[in-house]
Amino acid sequence: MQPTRNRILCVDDHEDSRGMMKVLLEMWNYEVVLAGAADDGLHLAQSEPFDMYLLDTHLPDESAFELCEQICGVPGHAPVVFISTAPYEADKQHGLQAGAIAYLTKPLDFDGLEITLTRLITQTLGTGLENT
Amino acid sequence: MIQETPQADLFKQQMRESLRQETLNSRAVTIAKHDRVYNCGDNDEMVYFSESGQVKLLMLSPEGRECLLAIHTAGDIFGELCLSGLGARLETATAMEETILKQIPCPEFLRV
Repeated sequence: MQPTRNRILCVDDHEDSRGMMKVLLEMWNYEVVLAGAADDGLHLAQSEPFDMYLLDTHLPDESAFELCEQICGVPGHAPVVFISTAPYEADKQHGLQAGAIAYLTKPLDFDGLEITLTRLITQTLGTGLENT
Repeated sequence: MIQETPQADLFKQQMRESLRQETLNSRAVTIAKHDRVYNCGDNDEMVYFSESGQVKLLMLSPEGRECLLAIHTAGDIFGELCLSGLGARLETATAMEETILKQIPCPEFLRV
């Protein structure tokens, strides 16, 4: 029997970034669902189960931070991770306030990203980062 | 979005090797699992070069909620924001497993 793959919803308005992320995550054996806008992402988050959400901070139709708050408002929601080009303290605080469990800044390093996602998915669900 | 090309890999390897050489005489510290390298608010003016292990950088909200900023592994540098003269650390660095780090004071790092 095939082991169940962890499902990740990736919301990013940049088509190439979405495509690249899908290739990368599938290479690491995740099941990936893509959305190009916040409303599509919210619809998917409300209708399908996911193990993690990866959000770009800059979305055209709605603030990604609002999307994060909406996802985090659902009891038992999966962790939300921001992947952003904005490395500023204020943006990180904004992400934290919105409920994100991680705020990663681009450019991303393949090895670092894989380790980070693996840690977050396998070790932090229900235990908190402090225990990893 | 993701910078991973053969040239970037080569550059990364060369940079790590160069740092390894330059930090041969730097002070090495061993950090036990779960121990802090530095805390948010600390003023230690050091750049850290990771020789082994894993270190996570966490930001804490005033309510104590935490947000992961990065996980650093062997060959990575972190804590370099002190080079900007910002002063206090904005995040907390914690070893996720036993970790060996080279501590490089800011002036020395800039000289390298």
